[in-house]
Amino acid sequence: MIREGMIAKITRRGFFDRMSDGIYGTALATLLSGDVYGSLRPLMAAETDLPDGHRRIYDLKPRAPHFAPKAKAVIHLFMNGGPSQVDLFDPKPRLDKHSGETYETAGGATNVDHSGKLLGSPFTFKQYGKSGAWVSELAPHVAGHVDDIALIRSMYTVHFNHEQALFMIHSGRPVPGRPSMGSWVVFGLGSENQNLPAYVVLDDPLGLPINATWNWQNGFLPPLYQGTRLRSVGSPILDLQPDYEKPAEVLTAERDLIARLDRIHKRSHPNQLQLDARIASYELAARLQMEASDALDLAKESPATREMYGIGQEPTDSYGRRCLMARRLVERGVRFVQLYINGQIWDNHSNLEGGMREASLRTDKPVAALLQDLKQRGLLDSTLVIWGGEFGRMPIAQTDAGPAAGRDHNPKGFSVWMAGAGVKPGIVYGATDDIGYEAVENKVSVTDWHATILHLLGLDYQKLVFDQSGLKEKLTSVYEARIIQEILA
Amino acid sequence: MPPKQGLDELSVRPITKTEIARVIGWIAQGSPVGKPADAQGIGTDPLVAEKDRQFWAFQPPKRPAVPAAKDHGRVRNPIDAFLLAGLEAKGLSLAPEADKLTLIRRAYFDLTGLPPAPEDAQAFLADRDPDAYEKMIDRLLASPRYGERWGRYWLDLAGYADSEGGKIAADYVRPDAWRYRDYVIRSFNADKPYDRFLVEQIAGDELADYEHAAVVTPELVDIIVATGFLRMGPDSTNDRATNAVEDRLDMIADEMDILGSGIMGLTIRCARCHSHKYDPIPQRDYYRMVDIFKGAYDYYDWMMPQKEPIAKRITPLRFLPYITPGATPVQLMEQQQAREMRDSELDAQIEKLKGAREEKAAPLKKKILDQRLAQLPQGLRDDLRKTLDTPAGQRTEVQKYLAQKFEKLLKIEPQELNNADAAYRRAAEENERQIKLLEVQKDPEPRIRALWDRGSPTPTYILRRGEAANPGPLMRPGVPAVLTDGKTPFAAAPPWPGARSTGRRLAFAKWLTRPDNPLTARVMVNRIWAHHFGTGIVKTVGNFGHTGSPPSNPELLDWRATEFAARGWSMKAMHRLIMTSSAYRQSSTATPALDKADLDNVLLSRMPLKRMEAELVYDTLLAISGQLDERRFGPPDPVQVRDDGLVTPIGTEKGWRRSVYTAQRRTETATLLESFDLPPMSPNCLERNTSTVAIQALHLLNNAMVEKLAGFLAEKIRKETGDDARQQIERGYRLALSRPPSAEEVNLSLAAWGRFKDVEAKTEPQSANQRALAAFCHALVNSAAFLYVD
Repeated sequence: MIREGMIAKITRRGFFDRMSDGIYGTALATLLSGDVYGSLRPLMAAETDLPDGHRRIYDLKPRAPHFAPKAKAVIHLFMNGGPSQVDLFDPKPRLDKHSGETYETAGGATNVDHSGKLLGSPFTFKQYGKSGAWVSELAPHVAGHVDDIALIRSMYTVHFNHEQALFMIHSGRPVPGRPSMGSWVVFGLGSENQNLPAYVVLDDPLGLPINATWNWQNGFLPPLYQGTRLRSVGSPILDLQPDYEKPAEVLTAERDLIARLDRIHKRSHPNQLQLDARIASYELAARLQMEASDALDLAKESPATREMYGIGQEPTDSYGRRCLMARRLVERGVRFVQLYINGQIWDNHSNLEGGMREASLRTDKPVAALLQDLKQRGLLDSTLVIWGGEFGRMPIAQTDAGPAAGRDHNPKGFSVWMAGAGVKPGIVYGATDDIGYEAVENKVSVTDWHATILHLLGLDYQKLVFDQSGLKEKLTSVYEARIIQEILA
Repeated sequence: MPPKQGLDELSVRPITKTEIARVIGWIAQGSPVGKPADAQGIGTDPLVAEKDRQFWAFQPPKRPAVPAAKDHGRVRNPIDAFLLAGLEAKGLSLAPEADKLTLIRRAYFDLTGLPPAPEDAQAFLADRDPDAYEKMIDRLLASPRYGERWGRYWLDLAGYADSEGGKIAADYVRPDAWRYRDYVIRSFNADKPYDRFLVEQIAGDELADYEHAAVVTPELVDIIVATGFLRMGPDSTNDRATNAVEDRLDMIADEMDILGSGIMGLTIRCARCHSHKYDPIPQRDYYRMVDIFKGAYDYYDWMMPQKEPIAKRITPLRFLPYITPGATPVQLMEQQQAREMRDSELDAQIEKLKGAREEKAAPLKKKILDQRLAQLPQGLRDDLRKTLDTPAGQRTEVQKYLAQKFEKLLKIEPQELNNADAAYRRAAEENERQIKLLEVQKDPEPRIRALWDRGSPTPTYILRRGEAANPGPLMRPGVPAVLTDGKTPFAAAPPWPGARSTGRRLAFAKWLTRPDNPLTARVMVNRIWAHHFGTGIVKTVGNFGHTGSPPSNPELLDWRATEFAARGWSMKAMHRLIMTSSAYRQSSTATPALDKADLDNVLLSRMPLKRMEAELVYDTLLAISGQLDERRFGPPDPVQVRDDGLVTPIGTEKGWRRSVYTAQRRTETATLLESFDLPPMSPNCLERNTSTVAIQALHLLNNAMVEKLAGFLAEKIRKETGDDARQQIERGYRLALSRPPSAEEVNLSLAAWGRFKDVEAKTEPQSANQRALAAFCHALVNSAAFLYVD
């Protein structure tokens, strides 16, 4: 029963106050005792693993990688919609020169109106940094960091629809149902922090991207490895604290009883992996109560830091918060953090100029701040930051040229960048043709990109496998992959 | 041509000068009609070869002989024989039979979505009749709860929601969707033959001349409500910004997807923009299908989903009036008057409640405003105050300017009031709850959200790359060529003399439900199987094509498909067949040996352990705590949305109704249901995920409603058993887990009960026992044993 008029929540502060009085002492003792919390010693693969990639124990404890890693954590700044390469990082003077004319080589292209005219970029480009990389006026802040990043201008993917391209870039094949990259990474490496989810998704409070929660699904991997969404406004997770009044000791004793009953249940149900995951989820819930609010409490940051991320200002506030949270999470040992923006803000089918300006204004400053912040804290050496969308855009106008002109999807060529741990800074790799339509030099497939990310984390993409009805499944599926050695430091 | 001022309202782009010039030119050329109609619409399609038809899923199911199993003692019906054939080939057999208490819990959840009452379990244990199990299955199949459980799966497939969803964030409420929900539940309960069920939903309006019927019978209302199936997908064509022809095409694509993957097991949607990459479905097949539905989904003559002032004048809406079957005109008029009177009373009450809230908010608003104004310079502050004190209509130009300029400063959002004062927040939430409860009692003009053929549809062309502005050859109605013999044309005729309807959908539905249709029966029996056993015989329940998984046991699939048609498409017969097999009665115990030989349980060497689905968790919590209000049907119960996003169903005076009767607005899913994987309907869901994440634990542990229900459960136990802790614990187990506790569980629970009581006694000695019991109940519903069904 809820007692009338007493819904005062147990705040985090209150929680620790009472804990120091000893009221929560037993709770913590239970939670942190060895059999629940476990040792943080990385388990050797031989101790837990079966030859087919299945395991005797599924958990999120840190695991030794296949070889010495350069990156310990990943922040994936996912740019949903497909940002236009020729308007951001891949200037094409020839395209600008012939804007409004037709272009023969684009004939027979996949998703382009054959009668479409070339559309030059409405934005001006400049060279930046020691490396002299070209960046458009849309990304003045990130431009200041070109000497920290490796820009890949020759990415290509397999599908021109959002859904399939999103599946591809997240899970290695253009179909639903497969584990996302983040799931593979935490399956392979576990997490350094057992009090927070290993794989965190910070989605936009304004709404989910296309494919919604499928983007961070675990597929055929155990459910333990799926991404956990943390809310970036209000309480990070609903129901984080009891929403009713009950003596703390009773709460503790209840949790203790649940843990004991579950152990009995598990004993009478051997070989049921679901129950392992379920017990782990209760343990994580208890630890989250202690750590999640703190991890995401941006009030703990200095005004200067918040200002740098654009927090408290429009239109950067929302994305800035998520970027700063990402830093706080990797700082605490979270393995994989993925950031999303609502809808498909880079999907500029029309009104290219206005749409891209808006998307850039929302993200450029926070992204640059994240790089700056990670760098000054020495975290960039161990954190891999990746930026990019599911495909690029056409050099041809989708509708008649003019202020309303936009660009259609283009899977044949697009730009992404990486920065941090193990990535050669200040380089530009690969190239598209002279109108930016198709990657032609040092082409990088999504599969290559996946394999390279795993490589930086100390994982051999061919060894990170999970047997699925006789097929040793990998993030890269059955495709050939090449580690992009040229962008490695 | 609609009046100019309405063009924008109807999302019609005005014709440009160039286009007018082109039309003039075309007329000047003698208005040539272009290419002739695509001949393939009425005959063979060269893009589909005979070889394509040979793929297993495109061949009608043939009834296989039932194999002989070695372990024939385990064969209760042919299902076992087919499964044992696979198992024995690998040196395995079926797992031992589960005990009776496990079986009754499994069967109750599977058929009704609710656990057995302890008395039901006891009676089943005591029943020595050799057919006790079969009798129990029959009782459950006859229960009205069955339709609520299995109808829900169909609602998943149809993409049922109480809101429009789609491309606009507003997610308008869809006020009449519930009639379709009720139709589905009633149809399942009545065991409506699946073929009839499909025909009604696809072409109900072409089954009877509803417009001229002398008597409105319940059946007549039913077939019109059934067409709501084709109105369930996300649809944002209500808004002028999202009602362009392209948006209408998107909405149709969603419905084609629902129909294709849900009923036909084909990813037909892929052929919208290009011919299917893997299956022999040319792009023109998609537009043939679109043309079948064109009489109702005419993207050049669109019916809006909701009322809009101008649209109401210019375009038809999607509603037919709901007529109470058998009512005389006088009775209908009386009903209307009664409704109006009642609604105006309710409106008055709502206004009063709103007034009361305003009154309560006033001092708080003033306080917040004072704080804000205090930061402004004296002169401005006084001016603003004066502005606020002046009614909007009497403000001077300067005051109007000030009000506009400082609009943000002067406006106080409800959320700010809530944050400022906890007592106010509670009062406001309660006030909101009361208002919602009154609103739901309002009974507007009864309508049916229906789909009907309006005759003479505009011609359909292939749309290259799926683009409206890029038409290709003219198409005729037709079904996917690979599913035909390639010779017989698709024929449709008006369903009765003088009907304006094209009869295309009826012809389609009849083709779909022919016993030799290769997909319809297979897809449905596979779906039923998947819900009982966790995985389908074809794992990809919505894709029987080349990229889907091949059937794990093709003979069993075909035997069941032919059996389904032979038994008059009775779904209950299919449940009974499955549930009375030895396979269904197996234990769920997994062993390392089984893991090695049949890791993914493809051979069904044991029953899979199943986590309760979202509705089961919610409904069971209500049922065991005595709070389940079993009133069925009608408008959905409202939910309350808290500032932080927590969504909680608002109860009735008797508790709460089952989750299927809770409002399913796409953007406002009850948090408990969402946490436990109630799928987002975008556009529908063929297979639910089972995630295991910490937010579920947090919800069950910390949510106020769950805690409250645990309290009700404790009260109920105490009423039923008295004050003895041991007996209370035993009763709790029987209610929540349908079994008695083990000695170890009793001891642990007793020890915990003692700890709870000692703590509670320090502050509330009189109620310590009751509180201790409530804490035990709360732990019990949080235990894994509660959440997983063996």
